[in-house]
Amino acid sequence: MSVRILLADDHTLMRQGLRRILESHADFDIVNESSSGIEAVEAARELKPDVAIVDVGMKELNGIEATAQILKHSPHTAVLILSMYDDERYVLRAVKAGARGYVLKNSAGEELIQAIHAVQRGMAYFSPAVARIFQDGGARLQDARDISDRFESLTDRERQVYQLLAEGNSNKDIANRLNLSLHTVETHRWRIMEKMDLHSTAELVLSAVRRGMVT
Amino acid sequence: MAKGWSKRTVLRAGYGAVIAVLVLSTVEAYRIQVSVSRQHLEIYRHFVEQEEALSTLRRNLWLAGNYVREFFIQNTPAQGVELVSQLQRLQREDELALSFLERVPLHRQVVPSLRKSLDEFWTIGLHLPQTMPHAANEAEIAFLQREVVPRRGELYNALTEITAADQRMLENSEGEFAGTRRRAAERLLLMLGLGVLLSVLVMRFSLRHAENLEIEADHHFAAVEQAKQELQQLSARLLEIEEEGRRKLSRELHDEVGQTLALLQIEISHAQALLDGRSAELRERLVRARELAERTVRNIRSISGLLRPTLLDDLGLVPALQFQLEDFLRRSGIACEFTEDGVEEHLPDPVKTCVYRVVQEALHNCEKHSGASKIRVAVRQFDECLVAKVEDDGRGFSSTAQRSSGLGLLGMRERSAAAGGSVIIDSAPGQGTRIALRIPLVRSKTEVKA
Repeated sequence: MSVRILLADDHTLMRQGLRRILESHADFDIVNESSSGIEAVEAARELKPDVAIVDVGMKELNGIEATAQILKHSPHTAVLILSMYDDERYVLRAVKAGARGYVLKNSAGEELIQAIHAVQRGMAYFSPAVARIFQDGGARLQDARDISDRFESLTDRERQVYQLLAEGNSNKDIANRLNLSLHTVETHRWRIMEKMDLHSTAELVLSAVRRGMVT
Repeated sequence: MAKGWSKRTVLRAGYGAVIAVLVLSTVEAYRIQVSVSRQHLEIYRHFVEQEEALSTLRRNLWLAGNYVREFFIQNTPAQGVELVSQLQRLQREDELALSFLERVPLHRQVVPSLRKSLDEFWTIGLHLPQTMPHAANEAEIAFLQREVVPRRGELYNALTEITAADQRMLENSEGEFAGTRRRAAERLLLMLGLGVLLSVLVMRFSLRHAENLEIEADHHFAAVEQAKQELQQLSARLLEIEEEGRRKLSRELHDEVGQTLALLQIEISHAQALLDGRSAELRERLVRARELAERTVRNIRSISGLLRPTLLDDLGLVPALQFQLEDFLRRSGIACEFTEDGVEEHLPDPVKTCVYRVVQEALHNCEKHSGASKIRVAVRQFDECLVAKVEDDGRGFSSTAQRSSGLGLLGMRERSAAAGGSVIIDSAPGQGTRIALRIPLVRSKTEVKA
């Protein structure tokens, strides 16, 4: 079964370039191309795509706002943000809005396919360049809106699960690896999210990236 | 200007004339006073002298009668000598009085007959010792009856006449004097009247002139005020245009040039994939080309960030300020502390632009002039307004220095005024600098984000 993809970017040439990348994979089906955030939201509402690739800097309705609205209308769509900006604030805001992945446009050639596969399987994906910036806290200000970080409150087992989740393993993979029941893994996962005040897998991955536990 | 000058000349002339009339009136009043007193004195003295002369004549006549009677009573040669010398003394006195009266034009007719009559009397009197040395009582009485009494009566009449004439003259001169006085008073009144009239004219003219000046000043003030307002509007408009230009250019660079370069990188990576390990040299070239594209993207991004960070439009004020402060920290090495309280993402564009630019200017000033080691930026949103504060611990400046070096500060003021807000700049040498910006928020006009 092919992956149904919505592609939204107001830059025509860029959209064409991205389409060429996607077309080289037979299992991707581009169901819609939008040139604005509003169009993308409308299309997502109708088509309920598996993956929405959304440019962050669109006119009228920018990618971050569009992400929130797409998810409101089509909660099962995995949103992958495409961006020119490696500024962590864009990444944070995108993740808050519910994006599963964040890919820099200049590395889209290599990463886009990988990212689509990751988010489509329910995992998070961040361009390595973005991850590096998150780890490089040298010139960063304390931001009250940062993803909260209460790693210290986790038990050893929970830390193990957290690490595996952040590395992109599914619940089932983790259950197998740690020899636990799926239910136990899901409980651990729920407790981690609660303790660390995280709201999505993407936030979890981001917090791990920031801590330098994954790259 | 020439009109104003001539008006002033007229005013000066007017005031001069009023003062001149007043001075003249005073002089005139004094002159009248002096001349009236003198005239009065003259008339009085004349009358007194005349009276004196007349009473001398009357007294002497009476004395002469007495002396004659005494001579008749003691009819001795010694007494005769005595009588002659007495009468001669009286005659001399009379002569003086007569010659005085003679000088008065009014009496010129009366005096000669009076003199003649008196001369006859004196002649008779002086010869009495010879003519009647031993006359009998009856003869003496008869003589008195015949010569002295009628003559005395006659003299009395003449004197009375003269006195009456004198009286009339006095009355006349009193009348004349009153006339002079009245005319003088009238002249004085006329002059004073003229003075008052002139004063009223000058006053009216001055008042109108003052009124005109006042109106003119009002016009000037209004014009200046309007010019100031227009200038402010113009400045606000210029700021708006500049900001719009920056926004466009920033977007253009980012979206067009940046995206095309990103696309270029994608294409290169595509080519790299196609190459599939065939030519090591070609692969190397492609890697270099990609690096170049990457570097260019970074440059473009930093230029566009300097123009106007897309963060400000995409994510709002707080992320943009954080971005700015991080950049500032990297560039200047000055420690930054940022706090934010309740600032919403969707602020009206003029508000967030103003805060962003004012903070930028404050940071710029701080980096350039203050020598500060720490800077604190706080943004807080209230119901009615947004407040941003920038404080540093640098060397500060005095308010006079502020004026001379203050293009940046002026810029802050202009920007905040354009957004309807205000800036307070508080600094003193050695005390650091505190800049507070307050912008009112209009609730109904929250911006819809593009």
